[in-house]
Amino acid sequence: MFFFNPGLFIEFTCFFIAFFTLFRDRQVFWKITIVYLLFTCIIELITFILLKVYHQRTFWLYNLYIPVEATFITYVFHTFLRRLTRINHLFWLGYGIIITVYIIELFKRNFGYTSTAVSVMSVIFVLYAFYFYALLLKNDEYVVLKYYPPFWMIAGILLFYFGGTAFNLIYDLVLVKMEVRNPLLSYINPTLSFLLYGFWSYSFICRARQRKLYR
Amino acid sequence: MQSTPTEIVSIILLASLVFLLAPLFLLLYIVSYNKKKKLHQQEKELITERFESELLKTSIEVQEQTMQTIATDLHDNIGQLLSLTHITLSSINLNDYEKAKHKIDHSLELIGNSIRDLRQLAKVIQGEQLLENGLSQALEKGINWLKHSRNYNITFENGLKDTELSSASKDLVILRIFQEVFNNIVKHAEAGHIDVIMELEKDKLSIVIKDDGKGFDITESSSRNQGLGLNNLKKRSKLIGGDMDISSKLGKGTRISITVPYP
Repeated sequence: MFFFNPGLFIEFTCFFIAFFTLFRDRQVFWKITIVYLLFTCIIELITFILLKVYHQRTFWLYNLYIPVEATFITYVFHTFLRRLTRINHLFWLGYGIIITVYIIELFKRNFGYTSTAVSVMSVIFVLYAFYFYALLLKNDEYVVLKYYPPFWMIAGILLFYFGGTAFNLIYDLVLVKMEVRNPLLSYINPTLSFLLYGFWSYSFICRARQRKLYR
Repeated sequence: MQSTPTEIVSIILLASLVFLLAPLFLLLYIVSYNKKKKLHQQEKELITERFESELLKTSIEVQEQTMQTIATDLHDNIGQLLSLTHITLSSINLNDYEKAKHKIDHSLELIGNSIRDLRQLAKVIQGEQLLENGLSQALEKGINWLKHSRNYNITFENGLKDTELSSASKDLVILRIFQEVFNNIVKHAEAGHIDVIMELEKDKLSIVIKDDGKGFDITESSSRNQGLGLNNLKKRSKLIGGDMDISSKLGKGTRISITVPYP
């Protein structure tokens, strides 16, 4: 089907799940999550139309999306890690590094795709995720992980960025330069997206369940 | 030797798979560790439950002992005093005015003593009330009561006298331990001299009670039912995070030392 794109489908599904499960949530964090997912879907849709209909390059659109992504994911970690630790400057440091690399690369590549910034961002988010899980293990308080939204949301982030790191690094270094094309490679990104948005969707359901229980 | 594009693609796919599986294993490890944490928490809850049930049991034991003290006191002191009053009043010959007056005065004195003993007994029961002015004064009152009612030579070094430190939860347990130890001395020790030393040093309260009574064989009494009382005392000390040491020799008296983090 010409207009079917797995990435787009997964993102929209996740957005609708978020909308129906988190719409009534009073916490600002979950409301921002809905807005972020809507923004992601719009970007993905525009990219898809530009690529398929107008056959245009979409690097500039992804470049616009990266700072928003970096801000939101940092905010996710800040929200969840705040419950386990009081270290705040860690987030400013990580965020500062990502934005600095992004700006430098943006000018260096003459507004081309900022792949290094994406890789740096992935590594920082993976480290945050490790830190989150280390604190979760250290924490004396027992939580039912099966229904614990932060666990699943961060699991999605970890799988997406950790799994994508290898692909991003090698893709940038080898494939682009060697002009290697293989249909199998096109499955990696949708798989990662499926894992990210699948885990997030489940975490939204957990959050809705949590809200119902404490109502 | 250069790699072919197919080999490169295979390597990339393999690397992506490894990079995907590694966090999955990490998540599995966290889930399994969390299960262990749950078991640990359940064990902790069980220990807390046991501790609370132990506390309840001890509290019931304390109540029972208090009731025993009341019964003994009612029978041995107040009961005797009232019996004596009854006998004295029954023997009054109204025709002999002088003797009757003397007997009535004596009866009044006995009734006065009964009332005083009853009041003292009420204070023993009302531990919380006794502790209104602090542990130091409560122990002092207890010792004074014993000084008045029995023939004991008691010395008391009160190291808490000049402090206003108190611990609501610990004071009552310490007082009950103290009362129980004195109860044992009165009942079993046949002592003439009792030394009580109470000291507070480096947030630790230590109370030493020594008597010159007949003493007992700790090993033997531990194996018999008598050991139950001593074990209860130790258990109560442990409940407030303290430690109790009992040493005794036949014919040479007993020394009981209690150390408790205080306040």
